[in-house]
Amino acid sequence: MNKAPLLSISNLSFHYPGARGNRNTLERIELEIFEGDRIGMLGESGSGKTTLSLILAGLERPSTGLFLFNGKRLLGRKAYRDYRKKIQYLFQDPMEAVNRYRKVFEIVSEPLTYRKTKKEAIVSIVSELLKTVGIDPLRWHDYPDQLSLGQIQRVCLARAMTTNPKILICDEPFSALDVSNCGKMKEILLQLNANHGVTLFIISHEPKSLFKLCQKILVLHKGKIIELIDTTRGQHAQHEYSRKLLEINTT
Amino acid sequence: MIKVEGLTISIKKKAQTYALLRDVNFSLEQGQTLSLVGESGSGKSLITYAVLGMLNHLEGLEGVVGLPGQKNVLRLSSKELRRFRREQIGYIPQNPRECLTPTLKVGSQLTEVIAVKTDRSVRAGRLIARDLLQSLGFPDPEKVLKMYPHQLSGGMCQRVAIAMAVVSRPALVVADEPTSSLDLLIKQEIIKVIKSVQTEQGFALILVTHDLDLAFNCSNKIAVVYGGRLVETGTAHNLSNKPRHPYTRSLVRCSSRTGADKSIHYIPGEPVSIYTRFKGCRYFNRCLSRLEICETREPAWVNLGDGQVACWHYGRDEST
Repeated sequence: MNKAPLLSISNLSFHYPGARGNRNTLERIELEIFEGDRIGMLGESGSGKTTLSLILAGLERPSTGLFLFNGKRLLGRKAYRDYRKKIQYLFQDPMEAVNRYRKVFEIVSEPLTYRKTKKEAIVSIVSELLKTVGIDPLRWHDYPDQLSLGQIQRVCLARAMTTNPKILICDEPFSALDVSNCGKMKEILLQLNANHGVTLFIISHEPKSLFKLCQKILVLHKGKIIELIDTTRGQHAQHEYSRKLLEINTT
Repeated sequence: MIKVEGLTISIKKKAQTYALLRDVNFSLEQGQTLSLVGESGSGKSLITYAVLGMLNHLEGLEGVVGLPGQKNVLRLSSKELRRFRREQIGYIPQNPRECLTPTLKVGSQLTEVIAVKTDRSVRAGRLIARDLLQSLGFPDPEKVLKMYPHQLSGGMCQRVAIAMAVVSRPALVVADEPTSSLDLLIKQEIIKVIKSVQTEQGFALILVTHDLDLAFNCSNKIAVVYGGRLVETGTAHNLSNKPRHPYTRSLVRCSSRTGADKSIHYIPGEPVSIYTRFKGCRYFNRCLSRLEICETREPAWVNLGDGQVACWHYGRDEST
């Protein structure tokens, strides 16, 4: 089982330009992501969750440190552009992430039209994905306003999957949803992970859902990874801070 | 005591009447907390708007909302309403940052609210603001008063909003998803703050949430809303341990609290739209234990002593 990691990050630090005293938002991050992994990230607001996810998405570049994709270092604009094609991002607020003046089917097929996919191929890919995420064919020509929030979130998920990404980064995918929609979303994510082999990177501040979904959970505190919990081995939190986070949830 | 009886809201659209809320009943003692839970779009927020007297202009508004010293909030004139809002109620919003004016300092906004609500001068208001913020857990209130909302964190904004809501010692405070935009540690802190103010002032609290754990942990009563109707009410203890209505059961299972349980649950199907006309139980299509009668007749509101439920599984054979 000695696979090479899909993505490996070592000694990565990051500071935003103009940060006071070049204070690092992220410090000495070490991370390896293998293909098909389900990784969760836990941390309170301001801990650097979003910054790390932006770096993974190729939208920010690390200040120092090594960032390898498929064993190759990403250098220059072209490398980043190619890298970004293999990553998709699912946003926190689904309503903000879609164009309200487009129909569901158009929203999902948009990434494909930019990639000059043939029309018949688009129809088959999009139909299949919309079925996978459980959107009734009757609703395919509705506008986002006519759908519930949970349904729009699933439409966004279908859109993210059209380009067959290697990694799907989900930024707080459950925080806008109610319990039932949450469960549905989790099941679909697991299904996509199993059938399409997409690597999931899920950011959340809700430990409960992460424990159900993920194999590994990173705990981020003040820009540092303080703990990596392996849930498959039934490992429990060791660090005091992560224990505190988990305790709140159970009481 | 807060009493809501037969609250119904219907709107006319294309010569058809649609009921947004139907026959909502609940009561709440002073100092107690009621949580309204349900899926998005079920009408949780709408109930609170009606209770706060924000829907009094609607034609299809029926029922009674009684508060201490008020016979029916729904029949207040606009002048009485202003007085009612100033003195008797407080509202804690979902997104506190959006409810504060970004161009004014926290101090001037808070002082203005206090001056209006307590009929005092601005200078006296500022002193009250300072004491209030201190009691809400700000170590240095003077500094906070001089800051702009964008300089505060989400949790701090929420505490300022709480200060605005409770300053007039209201009889009823409504908190609409007060913690959904906050992270775990701050969420806990905010709930603690709200609870401690409640013990001090003794107001009744209506908490709107879809976080069942939160509802179970910090409320006395819970009302489950589905498709604009209450389907079950009861004490938090009863609802979490033996939910009666099939919908409540599914909801409780969806948010199973044990972290070790890796199975994922959800309620199949989509919630009903208010525009679908339906003779029977609104939960019929998604219900796992439906009966024949459920499709054709709407279940009545059955009182079971320690709770109420609207389901055909109860009440019919209660005598046996």
